[in-house]
Amino acid sequence: MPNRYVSVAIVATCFSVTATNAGAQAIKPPVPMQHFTADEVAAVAVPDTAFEATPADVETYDKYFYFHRDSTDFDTAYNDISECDAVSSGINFYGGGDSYMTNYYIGQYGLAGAAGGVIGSAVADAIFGSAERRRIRRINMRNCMGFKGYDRYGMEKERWQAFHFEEGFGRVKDEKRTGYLMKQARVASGPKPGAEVLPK
Amino acid sequence: MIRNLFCAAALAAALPSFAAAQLTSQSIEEKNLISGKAKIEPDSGYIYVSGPFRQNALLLRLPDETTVAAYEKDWAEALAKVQKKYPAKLKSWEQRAAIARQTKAKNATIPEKPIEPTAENFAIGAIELRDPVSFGPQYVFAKSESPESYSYLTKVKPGRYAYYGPIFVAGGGAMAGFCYCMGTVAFEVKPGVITDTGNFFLVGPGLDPDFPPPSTPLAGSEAGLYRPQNLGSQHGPLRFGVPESLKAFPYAEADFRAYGKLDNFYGLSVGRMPPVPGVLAYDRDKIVDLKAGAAAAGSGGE
Repeated sequence: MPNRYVSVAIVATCFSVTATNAGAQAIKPPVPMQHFTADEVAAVAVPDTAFEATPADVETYDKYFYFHRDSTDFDTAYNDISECDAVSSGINFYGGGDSYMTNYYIGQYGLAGAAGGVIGSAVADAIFGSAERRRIRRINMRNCMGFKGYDRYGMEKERWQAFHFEEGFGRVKDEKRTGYLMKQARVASGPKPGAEVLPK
Repeated sequence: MIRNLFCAAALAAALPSFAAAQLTSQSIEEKNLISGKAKIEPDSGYIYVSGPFRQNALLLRLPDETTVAAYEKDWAEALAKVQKKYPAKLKSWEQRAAIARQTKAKNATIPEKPIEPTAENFAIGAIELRDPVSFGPQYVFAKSESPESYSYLTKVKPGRYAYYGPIFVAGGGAMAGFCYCMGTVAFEVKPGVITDTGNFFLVGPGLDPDFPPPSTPLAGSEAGLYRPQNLGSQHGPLRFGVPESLKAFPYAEADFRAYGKLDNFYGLSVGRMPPVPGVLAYDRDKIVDLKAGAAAAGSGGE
């Protein structure tokens, strides 16, 4: 399957626009792939994923799950999870803009409308609420990691919470976020789980 | 019935967006074109869409040199503005921080120091959001009951457009739907020409073998999962063609090409355009341009 189209062109996944030197910093580059040393990977504690599933656990697998893909190294898993996390959260990843800093300057200096588009949709959020936004993030992670060929496995809530986060209106701080994503990458690139593979 | 199913699916996946679209397109109705109230102008582009039921979508005009130049100018002006304001902002922070340090109240916290604006950290938003274009489900160009059909004619700025997804844009710019953030198609819209996309957006994409359609409609916690339906088998085949009222004007079939990933600018449900035979395929999440492959094969290339 991954090599099905070896003879045809693969489209560049990054947005590319020829910018002049003077304005090269206006259009932000895509997030670069991160690399880790063996020591850095070894320093990431491997989360406990072993548990005896109860019927109550199974009922919440739509909320509590993790990903794994065979023959995937830590760097690849981390970058895949980071990409899906960014896309799921509505944060720029493929280049062109920087939504985090845009929102900062809009908030601090009142630059709304400078580039258009970044205006909070308070009405929609008031209707659907934070719980819906958390649900969307879960669905987006499933879709995105599914596209990347990762398998999905169910998890007991307490163990899941040890290396995952939920996100509604607020944004989980970067330090905590990165730590969790690294643990998820450790599991995603680790030994194949013995549990049943769930639908993507 | 079909329309109801479509609407139900759209509502089931009705996902709030972070941002509001500021559209740069304009819908044209057939009656206004016939009466002379609306015109086909040589400097504008036109996107024609048809199909057996109402559609809605958001397209993004891909930045060209003019867009880049305007964006860079706006960015530089905005950066100069915030850099000018920064010293006063810093001074104000220093005063507030000093007061907070002196206060004996238990809950007094030192306010966060403002970030100094630099070319590296300053941003004004994604350049791809400069010219978003939307059509449907209302403001049809024409409709008929037997056979049931709806068409849309949208006046846009000429350029290259990426289909961003079947997204509903409400009044005020709030949105719901799926972004095709992880793979889609793009096509050229030439000035003075009606670019005919036919019913491509509905029936062009097929099934995605790794994501089979569910036996029952997705609902509850699973609403929004990527499980494409094969609308081509129900409403196909792929059909192009403009009505008599447009035949007096220059028109051409859209040439769809695979296009890469786009950010989830509006915080929507993340999806991708299902594979399109001869146009778009996937190798896991890598987008495969089948037309480029065919062209390379035809010229003896790899």
